[in-house]
Amino acid sequence: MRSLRIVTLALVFLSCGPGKVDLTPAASWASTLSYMSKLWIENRVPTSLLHHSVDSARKEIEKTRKQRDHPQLAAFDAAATALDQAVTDGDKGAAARAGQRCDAIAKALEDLQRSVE
Amino acid sequence: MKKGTQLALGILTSVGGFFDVGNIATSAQAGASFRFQLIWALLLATVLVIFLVEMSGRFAAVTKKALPDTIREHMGFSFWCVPFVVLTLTHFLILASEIGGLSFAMQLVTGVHFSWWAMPSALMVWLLLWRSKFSTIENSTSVLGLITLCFVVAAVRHHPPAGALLAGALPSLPHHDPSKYWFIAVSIVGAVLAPYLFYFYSSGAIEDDWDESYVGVNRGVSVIGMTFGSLIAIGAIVVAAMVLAPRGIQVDDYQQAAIMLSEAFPFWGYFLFAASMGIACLGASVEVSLSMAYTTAQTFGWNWGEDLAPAKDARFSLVYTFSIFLAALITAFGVDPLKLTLLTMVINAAVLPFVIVPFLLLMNDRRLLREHRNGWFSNAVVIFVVVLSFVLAVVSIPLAIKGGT
Repeated sequence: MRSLRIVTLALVFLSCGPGKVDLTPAASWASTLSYMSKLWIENRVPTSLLHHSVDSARKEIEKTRKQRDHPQLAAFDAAATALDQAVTDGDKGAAARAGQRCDAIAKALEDLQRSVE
Repeated sequence: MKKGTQLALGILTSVGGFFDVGNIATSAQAGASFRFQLIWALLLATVLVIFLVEMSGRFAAVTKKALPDTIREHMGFSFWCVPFVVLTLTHFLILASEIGGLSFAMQLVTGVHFSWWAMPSALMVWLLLWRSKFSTIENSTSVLGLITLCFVVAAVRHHPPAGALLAGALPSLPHHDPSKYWFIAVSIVGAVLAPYLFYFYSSGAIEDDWDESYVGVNRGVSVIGMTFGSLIAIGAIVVAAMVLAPRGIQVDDYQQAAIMLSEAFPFWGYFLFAASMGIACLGASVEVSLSMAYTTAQTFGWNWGEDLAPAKDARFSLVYTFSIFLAALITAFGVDPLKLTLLTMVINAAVLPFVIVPFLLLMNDRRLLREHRNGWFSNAVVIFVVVLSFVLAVVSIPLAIKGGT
């Protein structure tokens, strides 16, 4: 089922237009936010780092979406926003959930990148 | 006893002063993207920097003259013009990168965006130069720079696989993304072989009143200091390889590098990184500014010397003042400090022939250096690595632009 999803996503992705888009930076930022959310929950990094990193991640998402849009990128944008809000509210539970979403998106983007290479 | 103290201080200076924003950026990127595979590039650059720094110190100790002064005197101003312009441009880019790094360290600690810290950082650097003597600057920033040893401690704590480390010490072809691999390899070489380093070192030896009796001390400082210094950079590669790479985190931003010490030092890691980056960049900013002022003053025959009151070497002081605040403008306008650093490091590698050839010619001058001139082995090593770096840089820059790095 997961393989079918990846293949479907790859086909959708490939059918969207010419040229190859590198999803690795976006996947990297998704992994970054996932790991940072864990560090923040454990009070190992300050809130400001999360805010600035979410900003940077969203810039990367926007840049990638301009080249080729994709549902996973929209999902990543939503997860990053949720993480930002959770950190602002000091809500560790919500931050953990947003971090897990980012982790899943990172894996999906990495699989997608591998399937189109 | 005095020589022993000088040797110890010199080693401390080299260790504490080795690691700067270029090493931080390139080591973190190398470890995160290619794990241990690029350690060989660092080792290669370290061997060459040992030769170049030793040559630079030997030159100053034997001739009691600084490099730019002597190149201009012996080869003429017209000959020196091109290397001088190239050196000034690279100095400027490196200074902008270091101030960018210092500003980013302030962002990490305070949460305020790095562009707002550009001018305060510039002021900090300028005040240190304006108010302090050479030995105070040299010793204080270098001793504080020992905080960067935290990368070595962290690397040891992560228990990296010895086999993979040894394999990384040998040159190998990349398993993926070859254009990025070679770009980072060249950046590593450029980060270690920053031209300001050996030009600054020769002027610093004059400031410290070295003479021929310091040739042995110089050799010790070069070999031991640079070797220990490069261990810190290797430590950073290892930490990035153990923390960031397994999580699929590349270093496209300093924020991603800032979390790399959080595993080895659970509650202090983030702030240790910020402190290391801040202190390393502060020290390097001071050195690069001074190097720029030394080179300019020596080129035009002006008074120079950090120990002179600014009123006695006004043009020397004006050069570093102007350079610092102009370089800070680049950060103030929000230019990405990591991208600026990486591009600067590759440019460093590309311009090596321009800045090393005049130096190498002098090192073989029998009238100047007598029995202390270069042997064939030193010449061969320097020429080989400089040519290799230049070729790699010329190839890598277009690849990096094409790949969007």
